[in-house]
Amino acid sequence: MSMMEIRSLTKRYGSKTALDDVSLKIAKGSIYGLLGRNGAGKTTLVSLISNRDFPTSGEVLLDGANVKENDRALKNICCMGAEQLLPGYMRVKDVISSMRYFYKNTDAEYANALCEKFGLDPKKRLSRLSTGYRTIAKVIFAMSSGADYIILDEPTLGLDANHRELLYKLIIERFNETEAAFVISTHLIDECAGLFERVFVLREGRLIADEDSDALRRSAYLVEGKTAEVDSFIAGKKVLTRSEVGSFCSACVSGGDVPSPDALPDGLEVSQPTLQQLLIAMTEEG
Amino acid sequence: MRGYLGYVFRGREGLRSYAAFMGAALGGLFVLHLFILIVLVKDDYFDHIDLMFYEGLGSLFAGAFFGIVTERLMKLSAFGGVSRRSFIIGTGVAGLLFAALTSAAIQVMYIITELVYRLFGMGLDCMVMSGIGTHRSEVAIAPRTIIFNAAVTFFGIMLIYGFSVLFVGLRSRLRRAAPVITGAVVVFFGYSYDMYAGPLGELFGMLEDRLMFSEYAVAPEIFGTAASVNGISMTFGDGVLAFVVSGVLIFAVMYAVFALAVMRAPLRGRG
Repeated sequence: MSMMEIRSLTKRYGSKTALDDVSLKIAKGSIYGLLGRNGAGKTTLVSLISNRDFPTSGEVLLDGANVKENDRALKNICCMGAEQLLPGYMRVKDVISSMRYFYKNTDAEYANALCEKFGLDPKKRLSRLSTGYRTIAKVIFAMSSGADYIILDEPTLGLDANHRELLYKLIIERFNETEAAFVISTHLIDECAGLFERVFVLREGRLIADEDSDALRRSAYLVEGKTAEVDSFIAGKKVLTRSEVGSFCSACVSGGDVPSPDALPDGLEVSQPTLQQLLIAMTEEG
Repeated sequence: MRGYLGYVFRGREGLRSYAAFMGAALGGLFVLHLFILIVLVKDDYFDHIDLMFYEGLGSLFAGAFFGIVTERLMKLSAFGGVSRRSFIIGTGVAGLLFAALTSAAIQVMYIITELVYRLFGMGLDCMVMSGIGTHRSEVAIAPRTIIFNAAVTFFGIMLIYGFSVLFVGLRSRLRRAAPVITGAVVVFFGYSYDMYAGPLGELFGMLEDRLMFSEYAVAPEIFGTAASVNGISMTFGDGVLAFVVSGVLIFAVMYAVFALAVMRAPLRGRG
């Protein structure tokens, strides 16, 4: 099976380390979440995978071949970033017709069908599109590219709830049809959580989790109740985060099985955190 | 590489964009020539005029348009998963072919304009003709004149293309310093040309001598064939080759700087 392997990737900008010794594997036929706070290194990672930027050290391999200056490998990777690489005066239909020169498996018919579904006028110039529609256009270009690895950086930027729902549905449909690997970097974690089979979590440039999405959620639990009781319960346990509002306290505890309600002191409640709650707990500063 | 070259020559942002820009610019210059003709036709004093707008302004426009197209192609290639190496090689090949086509297009425009001028009893001097001055009606649009003028025009286009890619390359790497450095290089070239200073001055001096003496080779029936500079015999072929090769070499030097800059530049668009 086709596989992308990222080995010890590090990127430094002067004294700032944007990405620190990140290693992970992306296999065709899975949907991955790339999660982390602003400045965690998600966009840097996408730029390095697509050869748009240079790593300070480390390498990106596709089926064993380094993607650096490798046209054959790069043709299998289509990265949609938040940045605007395409000239603003180009019309959406011009970009769609140009895609075939770069990605030989481009499905122009599918791209036009997506334009219709999203209500995007293909005759419009990119510069004339709203933020949301510009994002939609870029997502359409990436999804119709026919590439084996489709990396979507902030694909929901500026999209309304209806368009986001439609996008999630289309990603699943496309994934089922093509079995391409999708890597989705987003801040709308709970909305996308159902898509992800596996998640990568970055914190300050370091990969702090590379796990199956469900297993990651099961690796922690939330305890809520009165402060004194919560504090007494979590004593000696690995606490990811603890927050207090008045006399009420909530803590996210990592590791171990979720205690059954019968085993809990009165007044305490436990629950499974959502992926977003867990991410907040994992990536909170301090 | 093949896909990228296919896009450069058949796609939306390569040759098609460049040809559209150039077509508009040459069309504008043609109108300007007609306007000048209308003004001159009233004046009995002139029978021909040295304008050289096609070679001069035409080359400037060509360089600017090539720079614009190169920058667009750089962004598109980053979007389309084209390696920097393929982009650099492909754009270099495109540069040479675009310059040759532009040079040919300029000669076509010159011939058309010259014929229009002749209808009104006037003549338009191309760069080579402007030095000969007499017997122009016999040789103004002779194949030898046109080929030689195309070589001189090609040299000019390659020079301006060189400045253009230098600017684009430096801009991708150094951002705000690019206009200053490119401006300094342009001034240095201008200084070398005016003052015959340094190796570049030598080159320009040599080319100018070749231009002057090869003009005789353009019309041997009028001026004879024997012409020499510093004991070196000049022929028509020498002159054509000197301009073409020098143009390619100067472009290659500036393109090498462009290539080095692009090879180390992160490719990013607007955020």
